[in-house]
Amino acid sequence: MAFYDKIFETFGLTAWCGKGDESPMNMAQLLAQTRGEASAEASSGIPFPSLDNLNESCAAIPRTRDMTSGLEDAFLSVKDAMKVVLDPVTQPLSWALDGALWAFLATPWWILLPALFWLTWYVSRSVAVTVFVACSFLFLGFIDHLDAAIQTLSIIFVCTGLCVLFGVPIGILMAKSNTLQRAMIPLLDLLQTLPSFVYLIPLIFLFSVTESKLYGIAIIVYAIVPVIRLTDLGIRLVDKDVIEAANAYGMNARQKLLGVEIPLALPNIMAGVNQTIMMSLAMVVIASLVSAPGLGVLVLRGIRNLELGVGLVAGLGIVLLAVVLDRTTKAALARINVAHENG
Amino acid sequence: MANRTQVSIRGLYKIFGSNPDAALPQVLAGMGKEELLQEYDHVLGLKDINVDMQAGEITVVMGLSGSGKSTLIRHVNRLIEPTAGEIDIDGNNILGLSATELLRFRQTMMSMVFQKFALFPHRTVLQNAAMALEVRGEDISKREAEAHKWLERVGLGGYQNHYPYQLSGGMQQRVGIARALTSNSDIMLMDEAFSALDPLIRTDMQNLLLELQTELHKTIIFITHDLDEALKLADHLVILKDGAVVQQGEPQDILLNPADPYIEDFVGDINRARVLRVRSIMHPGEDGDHIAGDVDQNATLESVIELSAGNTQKNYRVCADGVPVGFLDMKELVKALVPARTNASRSRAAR
Amino acid sequence: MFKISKKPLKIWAGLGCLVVMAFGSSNAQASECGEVSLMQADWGSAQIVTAVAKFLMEEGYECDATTVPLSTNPALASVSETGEPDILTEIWTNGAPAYEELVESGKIIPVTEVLSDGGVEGFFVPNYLLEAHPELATIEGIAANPDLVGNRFHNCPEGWTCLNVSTNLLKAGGLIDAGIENFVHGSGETLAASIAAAFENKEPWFGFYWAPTSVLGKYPMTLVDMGPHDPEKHACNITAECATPAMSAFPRSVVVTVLSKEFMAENADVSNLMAKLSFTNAQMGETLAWVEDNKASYEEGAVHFLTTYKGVWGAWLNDAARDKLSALLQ
Repeated sequence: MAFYDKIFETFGLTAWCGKGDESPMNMAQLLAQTRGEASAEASSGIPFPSLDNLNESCAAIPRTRDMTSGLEDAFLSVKDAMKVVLDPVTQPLSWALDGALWAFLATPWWILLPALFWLTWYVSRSVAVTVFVACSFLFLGFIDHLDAAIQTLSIIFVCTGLCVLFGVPIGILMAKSNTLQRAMIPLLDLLQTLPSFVYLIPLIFLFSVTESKLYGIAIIVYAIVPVIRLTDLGIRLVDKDVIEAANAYGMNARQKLLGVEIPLALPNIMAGVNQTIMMSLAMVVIASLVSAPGLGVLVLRGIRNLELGVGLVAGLGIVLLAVVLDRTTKAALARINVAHENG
Repeated sequence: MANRTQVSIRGLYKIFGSNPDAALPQVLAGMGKEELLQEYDHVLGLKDINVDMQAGEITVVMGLSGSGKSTLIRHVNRLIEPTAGEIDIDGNNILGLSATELLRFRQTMMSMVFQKFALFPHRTVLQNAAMALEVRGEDISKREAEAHKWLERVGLGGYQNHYPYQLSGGMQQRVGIARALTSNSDIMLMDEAFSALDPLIRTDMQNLLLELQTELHKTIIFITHDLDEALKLADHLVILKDGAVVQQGEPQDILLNPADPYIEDFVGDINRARVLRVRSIMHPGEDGDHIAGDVDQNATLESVIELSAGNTQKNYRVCADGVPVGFLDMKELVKALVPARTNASRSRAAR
Repeated sequence: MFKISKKPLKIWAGLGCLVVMAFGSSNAQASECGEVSLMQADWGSAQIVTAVAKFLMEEGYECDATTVPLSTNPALASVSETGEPDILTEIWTNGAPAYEELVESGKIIPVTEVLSDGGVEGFFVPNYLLEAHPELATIEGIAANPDLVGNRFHNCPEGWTCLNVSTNLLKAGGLIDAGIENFVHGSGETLAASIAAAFENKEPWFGFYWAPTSVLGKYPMTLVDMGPHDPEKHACNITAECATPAMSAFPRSVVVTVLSKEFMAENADVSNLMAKLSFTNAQMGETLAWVEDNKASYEEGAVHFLTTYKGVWGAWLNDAARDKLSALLQ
């Protein structure tokens, strides 16, 4: 009855195919039955030789849903082993996030805000940027979004810090090895495009959903990619003549890395850090879908309750944080660049 | 000059490509550059280089683009590894050095000056000059004092705290030279060090180098494509073409006795009167008649012509520091003004 | 400034007419019913209801039905502003503050309880946990033994009405005082995933959920006894600022099919169909369980319902429709 029956018969595979469980009737078949059509497939031409279509002719061929449930079973069977390895490795992330959240929220605002403003000044040395940052936070406080903003800020600090801590060394290793770079590029592409929920839901099976490392991983996995890519690029782009001079005078690999390559790659690395911060903020709402506190929660509340204003204001709060962090890191970058002008 | 061979290069071959060792036997058997490129897709960088460089002398390696001169100089500090051959420095085979030994070797024995200066843009002039000592691990006050001294010596007294981008090309190269001098290495490699500078600055730098050399007597290996520069600086001149040595020797000697038409063409256009010295064409240890006066053995032919006011009857006694060392025949001087020709080119000119 | 030559213009015009006629003719067939738009929410029971309704409309009443993916609140907002979609198939009235207003204003008309037994909402514990510790069957039992449920309550995400109700009930039942963490999930997906994870690892779980759902079909859990439902107490519990949270079970959730005012006026046949279209919890539960067991899509689940419960849906149709679907009804 199915299109590919003939093919299996010709190859003498009917016995092997066997008569397995009938797969559930699908809508096309029901419609055919209702309308009294001779065959559901007659009107549709040659069906693509997909697993489901082949399964209709030969029950030994698994259906696509068997493949997907096979993957699920495979995951469930290895998850306990994975948990033993991954849980302790990622536990520091939970501690860091919980610790930062606690510290930021426990500090009274009249200590925390001046500290943040001072930090902005120290890093950027720009009056304009510091004033802008001060006004932004004061505004957020004025509209009762300060706590949420501080929660988001603490999460971003921790996640970005870890991204830089791990991303820069990985970028350096990539810059030193063409093989590693070839292997990493598809992985980085995957991390940036794979929808977070696809791996976050399985992670709930490994860690409890109440662990902060869940949203920490969500943010880090997505946001670490720019700093890795740009560190790799920055080091590869260091002037070859300068490297040759370093070699000619007998610098060893460590001296070259610390004394020449990293300082000269710093503009690109800082650009990577800036992008990592932006992407962390872009993930704030998804992080809130897996229980991260902060402005993302307000955005979700607005979306779910159709309170457009709530969502909009919280979203703009995220944008404001992004602009604050962007300006500050750009000002810091400009200071580093001063020494590198090539006239 | 004290003469001992400091750098000895024997049978050096360099082949660029994905599998040089496989192509080597062909080259040893005599395959040429074009054939190697077509059949094996490999580039013949250097072919059978045999050069001895004396301690305390300036050896100039000269050639046009693609002659292999940059490749050759980079073999001396093993920035490029040879495909075959030996390189001995002070009697030690440097190809046998381990990685750590090689670093030590570069830190202490070698310094290099680059065509495009290759200064560290993120460090000050003083830090750049002190770089070699910093790599060696010397402490900061010592190395800055040393760097300071050499910066003054090359004429950059007040510029310690400037950054390279703030200096002109000539000044940046002085920093490069100061950096090399601060390292206090025996051997100094100069890769077209003055080629990126404008002519007047270039002359200044050449004079600076010669001046420093009279004090320091370093072993300098100098790469250039400029014949005038080569003739001015070289104690020993090596001419490369397509990766092979065409002729090497004392510059005056090459001028007077070019080995093949390529060299003839090469040296064809220079002002021989200004470059050739009396000592190259005198009869050493002899005496003669019609002596009109004394000339120094290192005087240029041009100055003698001026002295004689064009009179070819006048011969001269040649002196070195006042002591007679030879006899200069005016007719031979005039003959020397015309480039000698090899047999091959004589028949070419006759057509 | 170029001249549009007349000849190609005629050809385009002609083609245009043909296209219009082609569409027109297909409409002519369905002109009795016309175009119908249906809301399609993403949870299991709603998908089944919508798929069944669409099939019957198209095959029995020759409608031109389109489904619009929407969740409850956006759907209500849409129908109140634009009158579309025509049919909102499964509105859980407890979770829809806008619902009452819209009914009063007459913009939407509830025609039937599509889940005839109503939805069940409340606090659940897994059956395996209950078998091991029968004392967890009541809220008092849980308050007395917080460790046994893992010291945590899995609450609804921000923006769901059940969040406030559950939080107030936790306070009222002394569970917060007993040290139970009120963990607010970020999304419905993580809430469901936490149940799946608990069952996989055979860990304790205690939180809010509702039936009929695929989740409860796959992971058997039991409702915790919270006593009877008290409308006054519940009315306070719904608000976040409730000063006197008090114990009261969740009311039976009325789940209705709602039609837009305009559609009701225009299309009597399909309105009647939707007025009769309704599932018992047993039927819906069995269908959802079947979907789980067979790893089927919800559309296949609808097919399963249509082939298994012919007597049930046969009664929803008018005579003309029953005729057209006679091949299937045998």
